[in-house]
Amino acid sequence: MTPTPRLDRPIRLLLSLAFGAIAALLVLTQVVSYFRSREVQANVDLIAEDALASIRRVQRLGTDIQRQRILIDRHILERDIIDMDRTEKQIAAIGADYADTARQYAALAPVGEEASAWLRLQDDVGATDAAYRAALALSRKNLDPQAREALSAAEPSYAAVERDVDLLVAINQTAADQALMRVRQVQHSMLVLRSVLALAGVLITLVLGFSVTRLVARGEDQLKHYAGALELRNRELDAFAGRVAHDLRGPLTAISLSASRLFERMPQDEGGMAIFRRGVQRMEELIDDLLSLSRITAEAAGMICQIEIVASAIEADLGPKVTEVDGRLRLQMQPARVRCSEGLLREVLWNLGENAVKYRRPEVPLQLEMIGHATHQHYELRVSDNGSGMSSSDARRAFDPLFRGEQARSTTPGTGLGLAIVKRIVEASGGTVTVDSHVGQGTLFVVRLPLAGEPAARPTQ
Amino acid sequence: MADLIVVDDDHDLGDILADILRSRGHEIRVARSGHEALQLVAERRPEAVVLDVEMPVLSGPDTAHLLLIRNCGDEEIPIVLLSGIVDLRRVAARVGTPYFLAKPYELEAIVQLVARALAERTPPTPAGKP
Repeated sequence: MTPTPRLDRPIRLLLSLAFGAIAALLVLTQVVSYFRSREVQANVDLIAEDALASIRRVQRLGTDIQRQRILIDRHILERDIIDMDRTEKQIAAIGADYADTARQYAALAPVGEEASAWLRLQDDVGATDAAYRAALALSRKNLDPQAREALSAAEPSYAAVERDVDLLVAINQTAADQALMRVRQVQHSMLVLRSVLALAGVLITLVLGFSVTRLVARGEDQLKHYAGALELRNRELDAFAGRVAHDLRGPLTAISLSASRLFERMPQDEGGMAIFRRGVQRMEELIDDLLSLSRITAEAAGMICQIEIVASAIEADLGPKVTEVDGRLRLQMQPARVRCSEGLLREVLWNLGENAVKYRRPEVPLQLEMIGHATHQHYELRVSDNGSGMSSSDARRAFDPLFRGEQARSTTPGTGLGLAIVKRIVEASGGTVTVDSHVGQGTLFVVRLPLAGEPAARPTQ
Repeated sequence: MADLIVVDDDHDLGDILADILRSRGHEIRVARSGHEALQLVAERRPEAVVLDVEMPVLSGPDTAHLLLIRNCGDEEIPIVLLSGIVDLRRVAARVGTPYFLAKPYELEAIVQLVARALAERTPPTPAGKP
């Protein structure tokens, strides 16, 4: 297994803190913005309600006094008593509107300069009130010149009322402007705060990004280093296994020949010879398998083969072996070019086929199928039989080197390397192999190998 | 029967091979290296040479090559190659001999192969330099 470099604990803690800080900054920015916006909105509403309402009412008061003045002028010009009554009613209605608006304005509780201006307005209105009542009484008696005189005498008071109204409007306007200025200041300070927070976030992100990139690069270098070292060790191990297996062949030959020579001289011990031959044969198989296992990685690299060639070769190799046990071999492989050495793929199919023959059920004729077809990017080979099958625990360990199932160990000869070789060949070629087996029903191996090119159209039987 | 030279750096294997072939009536001389084999051939040309492939200093194929380039009749001697190497078939093709046997082999196999080599007497015909 390739060791995965892990980040040091302090670095992981630092990264967590930094990410936490960025998240906290973002949340803080949003929360502050939300509450400040609400505050600003409330201020704006207050200004709109208070200052603008005051201005509107003061202007209304001024308008009422002006309209009252105009109606008195009209009253002086009128001769008919009915017209005069109607005008007086209008004047009284305006007076009532004035009183109502004045109450509303007073309810806003003006303070400071505004309060004194308000008192002054009330005094000046009081002066115009006395003048207009005197003028009205004279006009009613049709003493028009005297009435006009009385009204003219109140002219300064009317002018004072106009000034008072203008002053009150100006005071309220100034208050509104100042409040708006305060709102702008708040908005500006909020913008500065948000910018500072955003800048801090960007800076932390940059520093963090730089650190993470460096860490990842360092991790990748370490990983490459480990992978390289591991590959080298694997190659050394393979070479060692190959060397050992090869060197075992010399002494094994000497043992085998010496024993044969010995048994030639003692021909009566046939049983002993048979046991000896079996032992030598098993050792030969083990050496062959070890050698196969050790040369897979080197042999598999970059090789491509034609499935149809392998199919006909395996039919020739395996066919007689299956027929010998009264079994049936069905081979149906869609032609394709796959990424695997021809010899190694033959070895894969041979090992799987040989296993099917070895572990067949004696009471049922062997049915061995090898079906292959190209899928999207892979070539899928399904090798199935109706043999004795494996338990799920045996199936899980089936590809382990030197593993042999409980039953297989006691009944069938073998090295326990066949499926390990299959797995290693398939994986060295960039593919996968899986097994699905049920005791008393049979076994299915699915081998997937990468395709090397477009598959041909004609199927091979 | 035949006059043979068995060449193997593994003393035990050389000895047992010699013993087996002697038991089949052949006259056997044993060499422990390629150089020793060349010397024995120079002393008296055998009817066949049974040659191990992997030997220190002078390997089996190199020994066969030196026999060939002497061009004095030694190139006609049939060569029987024995080895535990994986690609023995390819090495035999390079040497140009049809007689080769992978270790570990059985007694009857080597006896029969030597008999075949003596019957056919096909000299090595190398495809290229060993």
